[in-house]
Amino acid sequence: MSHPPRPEKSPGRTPEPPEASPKTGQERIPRRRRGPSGGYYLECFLREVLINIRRNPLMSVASISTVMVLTLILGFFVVLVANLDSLSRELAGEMQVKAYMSADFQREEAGAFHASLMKIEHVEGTHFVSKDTAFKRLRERLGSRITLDDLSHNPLPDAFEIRVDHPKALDVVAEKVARLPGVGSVDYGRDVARKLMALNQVVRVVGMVILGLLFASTLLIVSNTIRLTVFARRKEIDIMQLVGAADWFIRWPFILEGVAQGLVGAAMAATVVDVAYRLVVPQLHKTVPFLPILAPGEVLPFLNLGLVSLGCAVGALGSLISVNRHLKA
Amino acid sequence: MLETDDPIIEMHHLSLVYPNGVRALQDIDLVVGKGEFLFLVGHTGSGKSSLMKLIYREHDPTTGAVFVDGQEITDMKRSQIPLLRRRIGVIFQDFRLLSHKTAFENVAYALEVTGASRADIPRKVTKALTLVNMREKAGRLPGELSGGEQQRVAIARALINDPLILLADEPTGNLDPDSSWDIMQILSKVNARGTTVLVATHNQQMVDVMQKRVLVMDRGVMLHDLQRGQYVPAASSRPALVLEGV
Ligand SMILES: Nc1ncnc2c1ncn2[C@@H]1O[C@H](COP(=O)(O)OP(=O)(O)OP(=O)(O)O)[C@@H](O)[C@H]1O
Ligand SMILES: [Mg+2]
Repeated sequence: MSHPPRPEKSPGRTPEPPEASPKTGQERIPRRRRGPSGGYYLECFLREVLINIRRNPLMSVASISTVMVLTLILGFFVVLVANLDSLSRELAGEMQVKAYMSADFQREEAGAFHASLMKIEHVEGTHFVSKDTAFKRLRERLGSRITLDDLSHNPLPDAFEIRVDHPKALDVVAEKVARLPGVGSVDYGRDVARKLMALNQVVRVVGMVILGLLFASTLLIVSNTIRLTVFARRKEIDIMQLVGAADWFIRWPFILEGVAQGLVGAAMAATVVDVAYRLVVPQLHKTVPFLPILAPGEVLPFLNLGLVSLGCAVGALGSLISVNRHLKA
Repeated sequence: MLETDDPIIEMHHLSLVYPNGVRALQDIDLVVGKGEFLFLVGHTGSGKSSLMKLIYREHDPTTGAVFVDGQEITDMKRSQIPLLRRRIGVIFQDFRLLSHKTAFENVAYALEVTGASRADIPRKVTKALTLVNMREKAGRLPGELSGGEQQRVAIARALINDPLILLADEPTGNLDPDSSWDIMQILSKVNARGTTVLVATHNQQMVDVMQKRVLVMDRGVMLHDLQRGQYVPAASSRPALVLEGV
């Protein structure tokens, strides 16, 4: 460094002004400029994201693990609810109101009685089981253990099996059927249905509350992690604003960073849930053979997709919150 | 320099009160012509930086209006501010370069944010770095450059979008005398190309040698406006200026 005037280093390459246009006819501050393609920006942003993750891997770890915890819990919860749901639906399919007819019921009345049953709300269909059929069924079930041949006559009543559209309707339908003329008694799987529905309801409500809290806290943690990143880079953001970077230009690298963190966290969680479910289902089948468990293929594809999308969304939202807070300040 | 009647910066009845109650500027009236070179002097806390911040709209004035190139910037929408900043280059005592980017990338960044055509970027950046004699060290990180060199990179960045105005807030505050003269020489060169240059400084010798218009501030008030001025210490109860360098 020496005193002015500075001698030019290479006489042949006199430095020109950066732009040839003379200053005097300067245009006004332009309202809008046509930008280049989105691909160009995406490349700029991805480069920034990579640099930042490399510069501050620990921050990323904090965000990634919180997203992972959220999506992991959500994943197991969804698996549980989906199975309880299918279980109760399965049972509901078997659940029906049985109307045992009084002794004076005549078989010719069956058509008319079917019609009056169908008029009741929530009734989907009926099936007439004559006393003879019932007797045959009973005999088959008992097999050779007890012989019914000694009976002088068939003691079983004629019956209707009434299918309802929803387990919740069982109570109402049974009550109405009992009041119909010619009905001796009604019967249905009241207790099992009730308990299962109640359990499912409780799991859902508790799960929703837990998930809501979890979602909020994850958002908080992610946005705080990104806020630390933003804070660590506030000078940088100030510089960006100083050289005329638009808000969205500053925002995008942070959002992509959040999305990347959310994606990684959720993908790890989805993998854990996926592997665990595939391991557990065969074991459960062995232990409780008749338990209707959903096959991995019925749940996992949707679940994985959902978890990963949620992770990305949480990451993006968390970043957006903290960057905006800084930009507006 | 060409002092025209065509104003590039206008301030009318400008005052600025910070949220904490400090009256940083009071009733400032100022007209700066296109292509002028001005010094802004005054004791610490007299409002030099605050005045500059109003020009690149870091702050809004409490009362009054600021016009840049005939356009009122005080009622400008938030989304318009980046466009304003691309027409105003700013450099500071502490250089404010992005530490993880090379000299080249720092300058290029100011172009990228404008969405400049990608093919033009290397050519323009090289041109700007050549102007400040930093072409050879374009690949270095700021940490690998001297203060004077960092400031020259900052100037290249400030000039990359071909601004109307270059604001320099104590550009030589952290530099030794040689580097300071170096920077001043570059600023003169920039001014000779037609850019309006406003320099806030405590460097008396610099002001005296350059023989430019001098604005003297004292406690938020514009005390003197001297054409071809000398450094005039403002009448103030505060201790005399601490002269840096020189
Ligand atoms: N962001 C802010 N919030 C509140 N007060 C501020 C802020 N910035 C500056 N001030 C106050 O406003 C007054 C003017 O400050 P300013 O930075 O403009 O002075 P200056 O002339 O640039 O001083 P220096 O020569 O030390 O840089 C000072 O009293 C300062 O304390
Ligand atoms: Mg200052």
